[in-house]
Parts: sequence; C-alpha cells; structure tokens
Amino acid sequence: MIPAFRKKKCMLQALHPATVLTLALSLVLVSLITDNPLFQVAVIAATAMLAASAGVFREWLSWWKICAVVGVMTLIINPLVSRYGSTVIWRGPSVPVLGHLIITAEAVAYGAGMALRLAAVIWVFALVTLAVDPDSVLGLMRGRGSSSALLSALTLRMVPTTVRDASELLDAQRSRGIALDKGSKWAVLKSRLPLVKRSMSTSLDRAIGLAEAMESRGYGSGRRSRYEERRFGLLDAAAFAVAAVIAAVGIAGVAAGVLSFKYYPVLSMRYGAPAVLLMLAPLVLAMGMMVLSEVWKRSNWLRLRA
Amino acid sequence: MKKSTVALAALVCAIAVWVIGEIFGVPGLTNLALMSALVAVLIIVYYYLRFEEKRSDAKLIAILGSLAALSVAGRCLFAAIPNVKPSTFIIIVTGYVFGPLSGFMVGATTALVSNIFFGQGPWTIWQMLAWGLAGFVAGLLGPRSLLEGRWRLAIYCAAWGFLFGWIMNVYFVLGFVHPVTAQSFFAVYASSAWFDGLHAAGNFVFAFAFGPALVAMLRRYRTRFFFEPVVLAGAGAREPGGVEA
Repeated sequence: MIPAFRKKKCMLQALHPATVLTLALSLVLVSLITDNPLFQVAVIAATAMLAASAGVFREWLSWWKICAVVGVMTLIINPLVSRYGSTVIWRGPSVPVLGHLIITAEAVAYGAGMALRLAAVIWVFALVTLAVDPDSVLGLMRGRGSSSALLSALTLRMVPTTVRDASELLDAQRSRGIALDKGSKWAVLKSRLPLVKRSMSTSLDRAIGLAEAMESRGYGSGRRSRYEERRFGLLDAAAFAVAAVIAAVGIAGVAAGVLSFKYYPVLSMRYGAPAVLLMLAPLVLAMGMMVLSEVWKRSNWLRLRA
Repeated sequence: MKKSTVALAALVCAIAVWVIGEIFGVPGLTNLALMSALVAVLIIVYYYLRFEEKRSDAKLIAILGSLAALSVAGRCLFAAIPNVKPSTFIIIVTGYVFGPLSGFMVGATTALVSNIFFGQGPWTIWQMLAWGLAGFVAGLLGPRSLLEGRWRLAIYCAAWGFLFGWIMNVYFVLGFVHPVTAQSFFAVYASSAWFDGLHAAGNFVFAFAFGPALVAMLRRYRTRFFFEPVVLAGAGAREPGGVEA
C-alpha cells in the first residue's frame, strides 16, 4: 500500500482537478517524447517542487521504491538485449535465445536514461495520486459518462465496507480459535480462502439493497440533474498556461533537435544556450507555481478568487 | 453517429497513423511508448462508451460495483502474498456470467480503483486493458458454456495469470527497452515468469476451490435481478434472461 490522498490546505488541491491532470499530462508527455536524461532530471525536479508546494514531498519521495524496482529492471534488460554501442565493456558467453552477450557502455547509459524516464513518469503519477482527490477526478466524468463514473464511484465507496466485512469474518474465525496469520504463505492463503465465497455472497446481497435504493431515488428514470460545484478560476488559467508552456518547450525542443541526445553509436548531446534554457524551463515554471502557492496561502483575496 | 463508433474510428486511425509512421520513419509517430499508450487508451474509451450507450440500469451498476469492490478488496486483503489475488478470478467469473461488456467494466474498474490504494502509474492503463480483456474474453465464452466445470475454469484462469503479465510487459518493452526485438520480449518475459507464475497459481487455486460455486451463485443472482417478461399464448410468464448479448 502507498500513502494515499489527504486533504490539505494547498493551492494544488484548490485547483480544478482537470487543471492538475492537464499539468501532469504535460509533464508525462514531455518525459515520453524526449530522450535527454538531463531533461528527465528537470522534469523530476519540477515534479518534486510541485509536490513540496502541495505539502506532500515526503510521501511523494517514498515512491522511490517503485521507481527503483522498475528502474533496476530497465537497467539490467537493456544492456542484455542491445548489440548497439561502440564501447564494449564486457564480452560474455553465448546464452540461448539472447546469443553472445556483449555489454556496451552506451547500452548501459540507455538503460539508465530509460530508468530516469520511467521514474519521471511514475513520480508525476505519484503527485497526481497524492495531490488530487480521487472523488473529484471521478466527478469529472459525471454528466459525460454517468454509468461508468457511477460504477467507479460505487466501487470506491464499497471497498472499505467490503474490507470491513472481510475483517469481521476473519475476527469471527479467530474467535473460534483458527490460526489465520501463522505458518507459511500457503497456510495464510489457505486460511483466507473460505472468505472469498462468504464475502461474495455478502457483497451481492448488499448490491440488491443498493439497487433498490437507487431505483427508489429515481435512478435511470430520466435525464439526471447536475450540480457543478467547482469552476475554473484565475489560478486554473495560470496552471493551464504553465502546462501549455511545458508541453510547448518539450515539443519544440524535440522538433528543433535542441534537446537531442543520442545514445548510439556513441553518447552525444547538443550543448548550447538554447538547450540549457529549455531544460531550465520546467524548473522555472515549477518554481513559479511554488511561489504562487505560497502567495495563495497568505492571500485571502487569491483564495476566494480561485 | 454513436460516440463508440467515433472512438472505434479514432482507434483505427491511430493504429494506421502508427503503422504509416513506422514504415516511413516519421519522428514522433515512431515513439512506441506514446503511440502504444494512445492505442490502449482508445481501446478502453471505446468499451467505456459502449457501456455508456447501454440503458442505465441500477441493478446492473449495483451488482457490477459490488463485484468490482470485492475484486479490489481481494487485491488489498491478499497484498501480503506477492501477486496472488482473487481479482482476476472474480473478473473472469463476472464476464462469464454477465457478458463481455460487464466483464470488461469490472476488470477496468478494478485496476482504476485499486490503484488509488496501490499507486497510479503508467501501468494503470495497461492493467485496465489486461483485466478488462480477461473479463471480456470470458464473456465471449459464456454463451457457449466453454468454461463449465472446475478444471476448465481453473486452467483458463491460470492461463490469464500469464496473459495478464504478458500484456503488462508490452508497455515496458515498447516504452523502455531498445531495440524492440524477439530477444527483448523474451528477456522481459523471462524476468517476470516467476511473478506471472505466482499469479497463475493463485488464480488456479481460487478457481479450482470456488469456481463452480461462484458461477452458480452469480447465475442465481442474475436470475433474481434480470428477467424478461415473456407472454405465452395469452398467459403471462416470466423467463430468466441474460444481461447482454
């Protein structure tokens, strides 16, 4: 389990969920289209700043474990399967399917670059998980996708109830003297198996009551009404602008070749003022969001306008 | 024109553009991570829109919500045992009894909602797709009763333990491994084999122990929930009906 969303007094949570998702999408997009590892570092740093401004930096950082697991896999597999690169650092034996193992420095660098890209994308998702209320994200679908949004919302609401039911069943078993948490993993699994059938029966019984409650409130009888609670404000416009600039910087940098980084046959990168400026852009914009967040905390006027 | 038809057209266009981009080496269109994610999203959007186009039915949504919640709770309760979870089994049984679209929705919703607890990431889209397809394909087999019996269902669920892992590996290979060759796929699939094996074994145990009982239970609820009035020669009679074609 990972740290979950908690309501906090911060600008990122005060924004419209669509705005934060757009901001996250722009960061994911530029991370996926650029190969430049320095730009990936800039995206990670920008995301860290946004997490700090939302007061979730510590929780955000705890996702390093997930990044490390998938990153290590990327770092191992790429050199194993790649035959590109001119700097051979190890010649290994012949392995079935993979052939002769030739590890090149460029392939190792490519693996590291891809691990960074993966970490950048994962940390952007971490920011969304920690700073955006899942209810408000599901709320975005209301009116556009009423059935699927309702299905997701119902599922989210019923999970704690289902877990509580299962825990009560486990407690009932424990009170009868059944050892549920001792022994091997197989013993633990075996002791929990009877839960599945009982939990399913309880859940389905609850579904009957739920359906009756929905029908008695007129669900499906006609066009549903909708109360739009959250509106786009001044800060949303600013965040949208930040997202647009980040996306534009990434796309322009790739199109113009300024952010170009070649791994094969030898590592090569374009240096120069434009490259540095483009790499600094996400950091500067995230810093701007941080400053705006601090101003937002202190300014009643801005909070009311948002 | 139906929205789902538009989504299907967009999906076909995206695949065509991707193929053309690959053939002519158009920069941007050869970005496998981006294009594969786009195609996966469009497939999910297509099925979501098809679900939206069905008549709103409180009973169906309540029962699918309950099953998806159970599937998510199962993933949480069995989190201590690596990759052993009843979710895939519940999704497959749901699809088998309630039809392909219901199976897809429970699968996709399980991934979306459970990752609120386990962490959203680039994998969410692919988990939605993989679990959705597990339910969808089971739904296609339902009308022909191809998964009747303890062994058949258990073997099918075990097979999806591996298939799920293989679909999940696609995003990793396309997005983060270069070059994309048969060897790359083999290396990634070999590295995840033990993990997928655990998933398959867990599915087998769940399906073997509870499969037929749960299929019978869900069929009983389906009969209770969904029926069509059939008029027989002047006399009224009610006959159990399926949820979807």
